[in-house]
Amino acid sequence: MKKAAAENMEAGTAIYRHREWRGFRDTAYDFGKWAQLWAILIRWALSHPVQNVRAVLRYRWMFSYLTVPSFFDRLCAGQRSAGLRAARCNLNHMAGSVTDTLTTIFSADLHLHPESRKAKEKNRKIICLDELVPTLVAKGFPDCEAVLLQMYPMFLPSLINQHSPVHYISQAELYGLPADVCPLPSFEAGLAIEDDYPKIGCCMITSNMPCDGSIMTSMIQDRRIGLPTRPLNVPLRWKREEVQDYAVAEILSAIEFMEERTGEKCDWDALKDACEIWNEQQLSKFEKWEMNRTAIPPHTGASVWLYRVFEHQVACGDRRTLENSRKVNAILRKQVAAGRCPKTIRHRAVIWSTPANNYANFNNWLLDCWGIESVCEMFDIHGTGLIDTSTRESMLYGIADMVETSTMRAHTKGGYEVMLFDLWEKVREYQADMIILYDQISCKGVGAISGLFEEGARWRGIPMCRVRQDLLDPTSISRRDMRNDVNIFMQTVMNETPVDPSLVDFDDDESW
Amino acid sequence: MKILKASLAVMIFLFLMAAAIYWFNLDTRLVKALEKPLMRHYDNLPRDHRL
Repeated sequence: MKKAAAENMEAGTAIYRHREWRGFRDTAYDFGKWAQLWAILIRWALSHPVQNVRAVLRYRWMFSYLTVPSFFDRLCAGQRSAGLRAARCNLNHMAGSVTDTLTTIFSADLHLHPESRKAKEKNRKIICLDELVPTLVAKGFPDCEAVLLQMYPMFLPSLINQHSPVHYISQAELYGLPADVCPLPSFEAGLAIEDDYPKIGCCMITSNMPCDGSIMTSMIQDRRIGLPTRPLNVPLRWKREEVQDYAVAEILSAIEFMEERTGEKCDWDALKDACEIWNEQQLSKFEKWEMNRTAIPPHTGASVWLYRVFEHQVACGDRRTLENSRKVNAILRKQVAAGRCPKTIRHRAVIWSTPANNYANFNNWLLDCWGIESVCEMFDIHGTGLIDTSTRESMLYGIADMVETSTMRAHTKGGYEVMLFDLWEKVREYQADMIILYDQISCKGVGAISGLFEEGARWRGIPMCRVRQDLLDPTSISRRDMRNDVNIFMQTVMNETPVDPSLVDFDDDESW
Repeated sequence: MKILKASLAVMIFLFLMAAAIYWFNLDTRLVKALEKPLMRHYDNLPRDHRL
């Protein structure tokens, strides 16, 4: 990488003056994948041109999807060789899946097609799920579509465009909702207040999330969405043996609810097939973790955890996603076998706590600016079990475990020891010499144990850098503020000079 | 032969155009130019805030 990356960015917007030169082969590869991405987007746009234009004009969050090529550039910043190839394959695969789901959503959306009999018919076969409920629970209904309702208007736009949450958070606060909660549920509430959720589905499976923001947002969303709803209660102390029967009973109850609302019977064979595909996806993921434990960690950067969230929540039990994962493993394996390391790594870091959606490519900046390689990230390593599909009962216990260890549950639920002790374990496993700890200022649960992290790191003699962030609200803590926390730590505590001095401080406040 | 030549010329033209768009980041600039008018449009949409 040219060691003046920031000089190629326009001030404020951080738009690249020209795309990154990565050497002939890697630039040509990147160009090919960029062209493939546009082919995916154009194919989607032309599949239902009128409907899609109406969707872009109806929903404010749809603007963020227009900026996806720029988002992918940011996630691939500084990457070379296998890292670049893996990231581009994962990202384009996600783009294909997301555009397919957007077509499903908009074809049935009663905001876009009011009074349409065809849309109403489609809605009978759409099961809406809370974004924290993996779609695996609905795989027993192969004739239905399971859609994570908040994923497309909220979670993904907040990653793609840091400004997308701001309007909705403001709406929630103008409505009189508290301003000191996590901005994620505030965004969800704002969407409901603005009536910006697509009007789809025949029923909704929600989940329990014990935080002030989630409690606040659930009633607002429930009023607006107005679908028959079944909360899928997931045990919080999920590691305890005695709660597993309850977890299974909840899964069964959710399945019964979906049967009632869709008029379909659960196809247990289809569910078993999906669980077996999920097991293969897990094995593929375990291999990636194994490769990252080597001296040449090939699978790092922001696209890694993003793909993991997508795989665990959206694409679990999906054969095409499994094929993509295997393809990526083959690419990574080659680099590890060749023993090549096309990047400057000074530190192997474990990145802990929830990443900042408003700075999704923070990992790339850490590596490019300071040589801090994120060999292990908390958001990437949730869900480590396999589902025993030998009997229906064992399968249900496996699915319950998968739900219990899904995104935002595996580490932030289950008692403080789950998140705390696993950190030291990962530091040891990945031979890390540094910890980057996100300090999400509005998450009271994790904030309550931040002292234990500090104490543990000091006692073990591991340098730990705290990075303040506000998950997806750039108006309280900007990307520049986050970078500054690392800069101060690296210059004063570690007494180091940057790999690329141009990246230490630059203006990207207006960047997507 | 003529058709072959013409299609080859079109393909080369498209490739060069795509390469120029890619390298000079013109797709991003186009979307950036759309941002302000679209945001104005969203701000002017009637909203029903009753819940």
